[in-house]
Amino acid sequence: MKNEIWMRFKGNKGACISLILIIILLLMALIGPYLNSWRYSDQVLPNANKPPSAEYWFGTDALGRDLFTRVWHGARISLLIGLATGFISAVVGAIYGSISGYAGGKIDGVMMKLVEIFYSIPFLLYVILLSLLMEPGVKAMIVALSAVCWLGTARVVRGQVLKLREEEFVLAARLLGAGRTRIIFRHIIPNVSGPLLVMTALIIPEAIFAEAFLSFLGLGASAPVASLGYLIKDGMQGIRSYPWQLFFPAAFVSLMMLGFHLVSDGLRDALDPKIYK
Amino acid sequence: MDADTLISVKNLKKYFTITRGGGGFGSRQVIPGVDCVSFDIRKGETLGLVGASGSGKTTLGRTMMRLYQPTEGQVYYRGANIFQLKGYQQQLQLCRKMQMVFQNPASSLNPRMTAGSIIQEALIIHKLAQGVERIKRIHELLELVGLSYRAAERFPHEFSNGQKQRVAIARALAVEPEFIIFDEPTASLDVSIQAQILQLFFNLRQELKLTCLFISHDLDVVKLVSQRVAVMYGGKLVELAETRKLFDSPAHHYSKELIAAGGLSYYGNKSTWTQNN
Amino acid sequence: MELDKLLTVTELKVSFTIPRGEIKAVRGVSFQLAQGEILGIVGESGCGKSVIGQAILGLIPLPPCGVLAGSIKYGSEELIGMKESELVRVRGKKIGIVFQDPAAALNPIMKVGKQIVEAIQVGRKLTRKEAVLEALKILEITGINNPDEIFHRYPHELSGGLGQRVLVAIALAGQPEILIADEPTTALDTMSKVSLVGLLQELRDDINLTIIFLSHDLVLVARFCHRILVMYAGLVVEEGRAADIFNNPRHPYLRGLLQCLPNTAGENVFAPIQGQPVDPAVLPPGCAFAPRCPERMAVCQELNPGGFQVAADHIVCCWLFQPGIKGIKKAT
Repeated sequence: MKNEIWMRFKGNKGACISLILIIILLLMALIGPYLNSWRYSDQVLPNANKPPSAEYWFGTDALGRDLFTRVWHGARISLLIGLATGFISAVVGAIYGSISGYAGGKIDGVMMKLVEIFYSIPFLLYVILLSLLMEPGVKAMIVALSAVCWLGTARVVRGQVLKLREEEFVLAARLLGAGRTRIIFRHIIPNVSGPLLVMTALIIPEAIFAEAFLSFLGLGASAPVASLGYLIKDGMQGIRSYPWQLFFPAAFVSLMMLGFHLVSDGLRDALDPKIYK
Repeated sequence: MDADTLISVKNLKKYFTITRGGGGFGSRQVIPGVDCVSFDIRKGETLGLVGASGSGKTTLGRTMMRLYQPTEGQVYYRGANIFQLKGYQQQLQLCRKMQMVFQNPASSLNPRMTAGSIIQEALIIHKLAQGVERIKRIHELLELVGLSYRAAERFPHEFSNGQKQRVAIARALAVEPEFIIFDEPTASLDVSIQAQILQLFFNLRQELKLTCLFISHDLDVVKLVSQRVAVMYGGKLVELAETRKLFDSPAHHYSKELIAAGGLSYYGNKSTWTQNN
Repeated sequence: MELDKLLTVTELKVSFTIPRGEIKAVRGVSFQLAQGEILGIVGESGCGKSVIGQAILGLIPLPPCGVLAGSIKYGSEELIGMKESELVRVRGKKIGIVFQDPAAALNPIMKVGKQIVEAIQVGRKLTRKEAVLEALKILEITGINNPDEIFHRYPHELSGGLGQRVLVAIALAGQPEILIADEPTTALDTMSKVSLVGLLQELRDDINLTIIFLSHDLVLVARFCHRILVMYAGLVVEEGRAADIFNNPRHPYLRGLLQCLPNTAGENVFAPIQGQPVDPAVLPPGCAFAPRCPERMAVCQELNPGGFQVAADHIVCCWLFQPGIKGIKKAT
């Protein structure tokens, strides 16, 4: 069955190309900053605002720092935030949704009301509020973003659990004497992985974007540890005279988001319930 | 109640309330799934249960297994009321005595667990075997249902329907039950596979001295496997008699209709029916 | 070929190409259908009977279908290779189909009456009023006592038996000559089965409807079909009149199948066929039943038998019945 899913995914050219793209981006984020001799905080003021050349592959910023190194360093931060948020949302949402869905009745009602209340708060507003409460930094950003994104996964998982609860294999486990914990962790959660995976693959680009936006507003991690959003903010200032300073970070944020979206689409198609079940 | 009786069902009622319309404004409709049913099952006996779809057979089976809480009435196992067990230990003990095999083999096995894991769950929950002993026991159970030990490593989707049903039976047998409810176990199987599973049923019943409730809408199968047969209609038990007697001279008008519609006389090699041409 | 044969199928072959390999669903099936006949095609899952039904109606999607060969002649028109625009004329109008699951085959958000009216109006110029009247008439023909009430119901409000009658009504809306019923009774309980079968017989008696009945229920098919084709692994293994098939089965598979039926005597005589059903992607050379056949011979494992006539209108595809077969050694 896994083979079939993989083969369907492979058939989707857009998804495959995107997957390769993401892998390349990940690799570059890891090794990019080390590819040339510049470190991300090295300032060479006389070389400020230089366009892309053999020496500075992406050009330099206003303080003479090598943009190539800074972009990949920024990408590292953006991806870290995106992936961490995705992971935490998935885990927290899965557990919350499973408990809520399996318990049913009043408990489910209360738990989902809570989710609905939080869900109705505008996403970015919520993240901004949370990030103001905490010390700005990468950790705070991840916490703030996860605090919002887990709501989505919780709902998706709860929906799946409501369906699974009445499946005969769950009933059989109950008849064997399995306790609730065992049923939730051994029977329910492993079987919600499909839609959960698709949801998570969508959360990652959303988190990357949110982080970029917040950094753009100045609410994210501060210099010199700069995420792509921060670089975009910097790049905006020289947009007319030094367009490359905006172009590269913006391009890579876009590529990341596009890539994850297409992979998520591909996953959703490959996991088509008709055949998945 | 004499010492011979294993299960005693007294005035069992299970009504379902359906709320139509939402938001608290809907009307409630009460559907009698099981409507005041009483009968006994003797030790070592196989009681057949027949009726049309919607007659309440499955609801009765599931209520007897405590998957549903009854609206009214009692079910006694060896004199103890199964709905009034005190404490977790007692409930767990009952799981070892009463088991169930479901209708649809595809949905009664967790698609994410190997056959071995499915079977060993029972052993784990009830601490019946550890380590090497456990592996041995799994292989024994697989052999008991006619599967090779290699089946333990396979996932449900790698099995045919008949093999899946064997795994489901092995799972039920893992706790060494005295009483098993078979809910339409051969309904979704081809004729030749049905024959194999029925053969397996006969062997197991004899070897393990099982007491069974065999639910089916197929009169021919029920005739073959049961000593006594109960007929259900609209949630009520309309007739209960020895198999031979029921099929030869049904008393209730519904039983008469059912039997006239169902069976085909086929004795030996020559058929005695007439064909409508 | 006689002129009054409504449908003639010759050497129909259908294969599907999937990642796992080539699945030969139908491997050379031939039969003829006379007007007013009820033909039963019987076999277990995977034998290819549903595929035959779909092939007749041109419902087989061309990928993943790899091969669609042979000939299906409706009267004098060849259905294989017909253009979609032509097939639309045949489907529903000349040949109708009733599927297994009313819940799946009916549009859940449309009232039942509307669905029948839609079926009636296809390709015909009728006012809505006329179509509604006809729909009610058809519902009555299918034995529904309260057509006005049923007309306004939704599919989920119908029981299995009623839903199946609605499917029949929709199929009849096009006034077809042939009705293909693909396992219509499988999801029904005993009494509904019998009444649906009764309905089909009445339709055949009243409006001379020709019926192809696909099922895995041999007993049911024997009860009301005139002729039966027994299929195994994409081929017909025995063919004959219902009484012959049931009273005088020849092919070891058919005999094994009859022996499996629960209404055969008691526990001791009960003898299931050994082994697993054949995997259509991995067919053995020679006769597909040979690995499980208690009477297989050496030749069975090498060559696929053709059809041998054992009586008038009774053909068996098994080497045991080739004239002069005595004296051939059995396989070990």
